[in-house]
Amino acid sequence: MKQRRLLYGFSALLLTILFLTGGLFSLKAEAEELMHLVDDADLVAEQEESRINQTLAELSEEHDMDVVIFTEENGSIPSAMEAADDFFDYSGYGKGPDYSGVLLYVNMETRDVWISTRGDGITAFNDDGIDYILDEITPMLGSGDFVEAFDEYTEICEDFIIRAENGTPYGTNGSGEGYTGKNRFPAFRNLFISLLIAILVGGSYAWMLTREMNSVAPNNSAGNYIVPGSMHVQNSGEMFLFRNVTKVKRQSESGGSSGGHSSTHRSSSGARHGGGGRKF
Amino acid sequence: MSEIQEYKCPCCGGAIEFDSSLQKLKCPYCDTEFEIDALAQYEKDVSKDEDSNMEWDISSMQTWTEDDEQGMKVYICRSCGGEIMADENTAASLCPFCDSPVVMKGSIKGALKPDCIIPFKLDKKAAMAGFAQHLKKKALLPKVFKTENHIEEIKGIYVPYWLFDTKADAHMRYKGTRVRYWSDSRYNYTETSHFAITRDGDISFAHVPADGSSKMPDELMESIEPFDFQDAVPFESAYFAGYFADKYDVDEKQSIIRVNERVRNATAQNFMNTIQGYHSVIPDGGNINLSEGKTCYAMYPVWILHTRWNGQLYTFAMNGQTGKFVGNLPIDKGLLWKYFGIASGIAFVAVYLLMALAWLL
Repeated sequence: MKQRRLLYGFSALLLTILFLTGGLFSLKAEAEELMHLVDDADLVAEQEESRINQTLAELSEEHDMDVVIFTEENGSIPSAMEAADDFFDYSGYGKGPDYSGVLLYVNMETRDVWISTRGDGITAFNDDGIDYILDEITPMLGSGDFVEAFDEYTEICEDFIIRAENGTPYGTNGSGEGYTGKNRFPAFRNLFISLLIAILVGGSYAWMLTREMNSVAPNNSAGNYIVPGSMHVQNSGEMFLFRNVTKVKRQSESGGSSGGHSSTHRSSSGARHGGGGRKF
Repeated sequence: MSEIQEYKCPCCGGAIEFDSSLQKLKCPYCDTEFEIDALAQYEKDVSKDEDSNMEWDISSMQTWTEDDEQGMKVYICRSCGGEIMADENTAASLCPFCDSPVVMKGSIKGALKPDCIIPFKLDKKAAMAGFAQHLKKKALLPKVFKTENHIEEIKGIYVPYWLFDTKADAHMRYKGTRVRYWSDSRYNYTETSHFAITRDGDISFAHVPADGSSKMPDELMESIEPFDFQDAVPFESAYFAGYFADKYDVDEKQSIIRVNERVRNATAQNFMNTIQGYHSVIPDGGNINLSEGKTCYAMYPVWILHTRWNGQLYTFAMNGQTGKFVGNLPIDKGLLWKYFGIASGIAFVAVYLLMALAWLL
């Protein structure tokens, strides 16, 4: 009997410890989730760090997508992509069942900047969008304006997330799948486009019908009266004059229903990530 | 003095006509058929007899010189004796009193004699059928036009043409572009290379036609082209029997301006067609020297129809050799808007639905 009591008591104690420990773990996780700016490289003053952190946290809560910044003085993982993906996955970031979020990784030793996306973040931040952010912030990082770069990053992230919520992620024509199902069918815009195409089609058809009513026209060529086989080309010349190259920024890989293209890969945790980066 | 020729049937004396389906002369009264050559010979023999009578005709026409000056001429029909007034350029016509075909010999004599003629291959029935066919499948044609239009006149006319043969030695210049596309992760690139291209060579043209009658609208006559010169035969006035004909009143020097333009365009186009491997090629000038130029005077067969509808005259023309039928038709503006509306409506619904479908998927 005594032994049985002892067993119950021990079990109860174990359960209590497990419960408490679990609670502590979850508290720790919650505490970590709140840190949206993890400035291990100490690039930002404490006051600024707290302000940016708060802005990022509010942004993440409001749009159901974690927006994170992580800086390192030197990293043990050689690849910026892996470092960013792993930090995102193993620190418990990501909202919703898809673990949606976007993370900006800055490594001061290797001078790498990388943006890692997951879940709906992959849709909202497609390749063009990531390129755009990097275009904007890389020069700032390069010149040491970290606060400015992080503020810019936060601002663009908010803009891109709102665009994705409206069904038109950056660089897409609006026919994309959008983000978290919140996007609406852009009825007025599609109405306008349909009307424009309809007028063009109707006009072309009317022009074609009018053309077949008028069969009298000058015949400006004597091509019907060429003596068969009489044409001889004696000399042919070709001279290169000049060359010009124009470049247009890639907007989107249009067509289909996916909108802007996002290249993805698997991280060490097996999760699907989007992303892109460069040196600053 | 004005002199006419009629072709009389050697059998019954009736006025005979050219039958386009038989390609022979045929008497509509006794159905006797004649070869052109045989009848031409017969007429020559007969005309020898008539030479002595010519003086009499001349004296009787003296009083009409005033009309000659005004561009009109008077002829006496040999079938019924009626006076025929005609334009000075008229070469063949029908007597308004007895409907006999007459040929004005003065308009086809000497330098005015055509070198060759393409005889009518298609008759009046074919012209009527061509007109009916021309009205088919015309969505914008007013519904009442088919029933309410009145064919005022349908005439088989031999139209005078100048035919030009020439060899064009050309040095042509063109501008061409080649385009290359590629892209990296951020930009799409388009590289356009520009080239100056030249082509030297020669090309020959045969029987390029230019309408020699100022009465015939040039656009209308160019629209019924081409004529196939293989059917042309040496001119015999007997081919005129039963048709109308004019002698030229636009000479070859005036016609050559238009012919040069058409030869230049055709030369530029044909040398341009030899340029391959470019995304775009446009003519950039050059020069053409013509040599071995030769002209001849020909008569080509054309059916002309005039119809009147809503107080407006519509002219149609059919190539009397190939049957090509042309002529502008009236447009019902209500129908035009209706078809515009239908096409636009269908396109609108289709595009909108496609966009909605794309969004759903």
